[in-house]
Amino acid sequence: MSTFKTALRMALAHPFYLLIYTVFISLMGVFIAASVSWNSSQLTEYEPYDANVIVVDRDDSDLSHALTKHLGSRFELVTGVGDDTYDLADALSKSNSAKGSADCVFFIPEGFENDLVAAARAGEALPKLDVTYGAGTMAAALSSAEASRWISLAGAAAALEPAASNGSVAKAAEHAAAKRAEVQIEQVKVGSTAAAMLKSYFNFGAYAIISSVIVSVGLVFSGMNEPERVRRMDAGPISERRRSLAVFAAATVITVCIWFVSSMMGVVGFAGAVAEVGVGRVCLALAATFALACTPLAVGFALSSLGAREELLNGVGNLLGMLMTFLGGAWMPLSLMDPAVQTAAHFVPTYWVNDAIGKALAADLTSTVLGDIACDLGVTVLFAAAIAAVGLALAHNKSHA
Amino acid sequence: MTDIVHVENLVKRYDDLIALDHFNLSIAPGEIFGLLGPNGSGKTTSINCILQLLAYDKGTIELFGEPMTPARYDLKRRIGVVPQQVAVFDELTVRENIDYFCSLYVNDRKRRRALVDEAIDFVGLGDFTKFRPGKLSGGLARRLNIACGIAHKPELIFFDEPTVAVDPQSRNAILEGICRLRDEGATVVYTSHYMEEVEQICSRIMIMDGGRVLAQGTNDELKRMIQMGEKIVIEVGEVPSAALGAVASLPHVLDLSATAGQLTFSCEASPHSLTDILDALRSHDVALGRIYSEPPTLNDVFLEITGRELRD
Amino acid sequence: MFKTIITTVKTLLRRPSTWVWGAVFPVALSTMFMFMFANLSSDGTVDPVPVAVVADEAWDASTFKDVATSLAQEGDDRLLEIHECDDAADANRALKAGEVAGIYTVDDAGTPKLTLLSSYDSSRASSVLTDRSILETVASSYTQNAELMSQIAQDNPAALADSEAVARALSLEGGTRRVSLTRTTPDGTVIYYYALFGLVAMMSAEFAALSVVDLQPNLSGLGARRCVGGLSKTASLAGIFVGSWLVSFASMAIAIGYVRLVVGVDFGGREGLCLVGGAASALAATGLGLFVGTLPVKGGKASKSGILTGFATTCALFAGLYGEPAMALADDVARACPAECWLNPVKLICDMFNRLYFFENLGPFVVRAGALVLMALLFVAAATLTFGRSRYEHL
Repeated sequence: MSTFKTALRMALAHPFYLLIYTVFISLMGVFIAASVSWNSSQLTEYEPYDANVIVVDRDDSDLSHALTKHLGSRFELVTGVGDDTYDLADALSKSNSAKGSADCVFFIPEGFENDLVAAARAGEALPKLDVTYGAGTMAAALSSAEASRWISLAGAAAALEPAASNGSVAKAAEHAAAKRAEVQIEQVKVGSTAAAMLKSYFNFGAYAIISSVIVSVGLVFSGMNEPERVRRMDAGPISERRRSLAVFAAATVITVCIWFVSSMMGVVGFAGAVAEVGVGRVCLALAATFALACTPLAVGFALSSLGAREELLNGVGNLLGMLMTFLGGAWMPLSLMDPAVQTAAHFVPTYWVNDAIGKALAADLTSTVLGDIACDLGVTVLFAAAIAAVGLALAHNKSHA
Repeated sequence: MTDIVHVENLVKRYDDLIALDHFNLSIAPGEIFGLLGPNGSGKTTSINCILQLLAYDKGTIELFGEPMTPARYDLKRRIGVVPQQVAVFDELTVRENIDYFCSLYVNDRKRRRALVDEAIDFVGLGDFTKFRPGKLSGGLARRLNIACGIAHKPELIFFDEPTVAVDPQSRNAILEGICRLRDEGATVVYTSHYMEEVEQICSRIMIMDGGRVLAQGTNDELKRMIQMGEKIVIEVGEVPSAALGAVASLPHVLDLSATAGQLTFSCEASPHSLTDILDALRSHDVALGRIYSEPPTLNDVFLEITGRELRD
Repeated sequence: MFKTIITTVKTLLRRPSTWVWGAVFPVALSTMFMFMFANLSSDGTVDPVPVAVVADEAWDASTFKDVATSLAQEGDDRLLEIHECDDAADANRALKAGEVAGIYTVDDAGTPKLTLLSSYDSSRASSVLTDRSILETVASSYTQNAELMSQIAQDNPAALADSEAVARALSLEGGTRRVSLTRTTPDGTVIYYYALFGLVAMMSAEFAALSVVDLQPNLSGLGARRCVGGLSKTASLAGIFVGSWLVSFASMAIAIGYVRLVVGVDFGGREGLCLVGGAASALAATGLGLFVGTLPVKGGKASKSGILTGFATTCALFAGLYGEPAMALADDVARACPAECWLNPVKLICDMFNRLYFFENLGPFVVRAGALVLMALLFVAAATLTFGRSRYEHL
């Protein structure tokens, strides 16, 4: 019993690791997962994408006003930046400058109205509008397409009614441009935002569990494996087997505590989402994160068998946490990544765990799906078992060396 | 001649605890001055105050005849310190460590190289120059600790319990080294709670306890300060209580302790002490075994002044 | 002081953690980003939007087909990628499988209709939504022309008498021309590397913090010993600052070099200035480390290292390092509180590299590099004040 308690105390003697890796990274997960709710993924009626557009109107005419108004009706018009190259570029670079952030900037040149009307009526090519794209290329392309459409309409209106004033050309274009194609929404059943939020939290929360468990458990194992201490304890009346069991039990308790704290921060932070998704599903997801926690437990053990000390455990724990959550798709959906990365992801437990979490939270829980989840968890535990076996072999070799 | 170290009425408080209570100290050039006292008596605190690491509440400190302040780097350059703990860089080798600490005092690289070599020879670490401290045994690490403090040939060196947890062989080497430093002209302040060491190497000794100076002087002067002139131990057989009463009341006997088979007497310095005791014991037919007499130790001095053993 | 610099560098380089945080960490994180962004468009070109069309008779007969096909022609301004399907069921299947963003169908009157799915992968929200909107804008061209015609027919029927003139008028195409305001095309992915530089710099603050612990009498025996030496405290502190800065700068150089040479992010020929930016970042980080190192907190090295790790990762979160949702959060925070861009060192470093990359004018870069140097100065001043205390109450 005293070995067990001592081992626990060794982990508690490093409260900063527990605080930063468990509490702090989980808190970051809460932040990140909370932002998922902003992209509501269920659509009932069509709305145009809310591109951020800056219009620099150097013409100040009826047509330029109408074009600006039209773009404003379709998109978010960013105002207050002015006609300053630096400020505009600043807004485009998405560097969160104080004056606003935009996907593209349109420049309506001086004489635009006259040139457009004249070209249209002469049957010549319409003048092109200068546009600068920002980092959101597709949003800029969309805004460009919309502006081009409007200019085409204004050109047609001017050509068809040669006597019409610029004001009525603008009005006609404005009126026509407001007429949109019919859009039909095909309803499909989807996972709720609540499920997406929880999934995002659990995916990222793996970072906290992995890094925290590797460091804390590693510290316990390496502390207990220190040669001089081992010599002293070997001379004592408690068998090596009992001692190892006690240390392992302490490591397990630490792992469970870390898993519990990290999980509860998500469950409490997203209590509403848990209620919406259902406690049963969430418990299933938690079972998956628990299965995941076995891997860092094994890694901590293996690392200490290799003789890793505090500094190395800290570094490896943090890096491995980051890498494994990345390959699990917590940072960016795996589907967007290179096929090679997607293949490589199969060789880390987070991939299987996240698959299980996704299914547990959102899919119809048929027996097939439950079977899939069980299979995912099985693979995850096997990873841990394999790493632990390596650790055991190393420890065995070392003690016989 | 001016004192190398002169401290007057130094007071240092830790909240309610008085760590140094009007502490006075004068050390002359060329001395090995011993600060003797049990753990917590204020030895290290006094050194830390002298070195200006610790703030103190009252008192003046002069080194080399000049007032010592935290910014007196000119004075600090003439001092060497060997702290109680092995305080070196774990990441640097033996030579790199000594070289670094020497560089805090000596800028000239060429001269420093010679000094570092000399220091390495002095402590006998020639075979370990490329070792990092973690690979050294306890005794060797202590020697490195000393080399780092003396390489720059300071005029005044503070040794703060340099022999704690050191094997007897290394301890002797360290003590011999300190005497050699004195012979080369350095003044040494040596703190310890091992009275044998202090007796062995110190020219003058100060006994401290509870932040106060209890006594100071040469070894002989200290021993003369107390009443006890010698300690007589007699191995005996059965001692009737009447015999004990008779010897205890002898005029020169200050104190008597009786354990199984042994009587220990503290006596005033007198040529008759031993004969008087033996006569009294014989008159009660006490069987006598081995008899020997010892001069008083610093522990006896401490015991008589404070009423407790130095190593309590 | 020179010896203190050398000693600081030596001790740092001989600690495994320096290598983990200074070299392995930036390389691992950049490699991760490299894989993450490998498939994302980052060259500023428009990716054609995949759309299914039900290729029935109505489609073949409609004028909308011509509009759509012309937009699907190969070229720089290609907007659509048309997948012709035999029937509605086939088109629907492609839509649900995510192969296309929408379906165009044309009714007997020739009017196009767009069909979209009600759901989408929220993690790809922006790209899905722009794709859909582009499809809607294209589809609307037909209805808009029709609306214009009917309007003119009402107001001025005579204008439509000449059918050739009408056809000519409707064929007039408005267009846009891309111009650049910046040296390079803004790229949504490079900003992550710049945020990474910020994090790498701030993690290296630990170097100075751990080194300065070894100079404090109240924190280590080594510190006490160094403080009684003949070298002034200011000189020792300066030596530690320069030594730690060198190691921190080396770590930045590794990160910048790796991102340039292996990941292949183009710094637009400003590699030298990038290193200057790296040096300024390392300066701010070292200043911070020095300051935290001298703070009187319990727990010694572990707690200082903990404080710095916590600080760096929080700053990185608000600089948007941890993927798209974090970047959105960072944008919102920065817009709500613009001062954050100047106070959060990771963000400031990220912005500084961003300016260097985009702007011809070096002014904005210099201002931010200057802000980092100022930050360093403030931290160093604060550190000197805390550390400058000449004596300690307790050791």
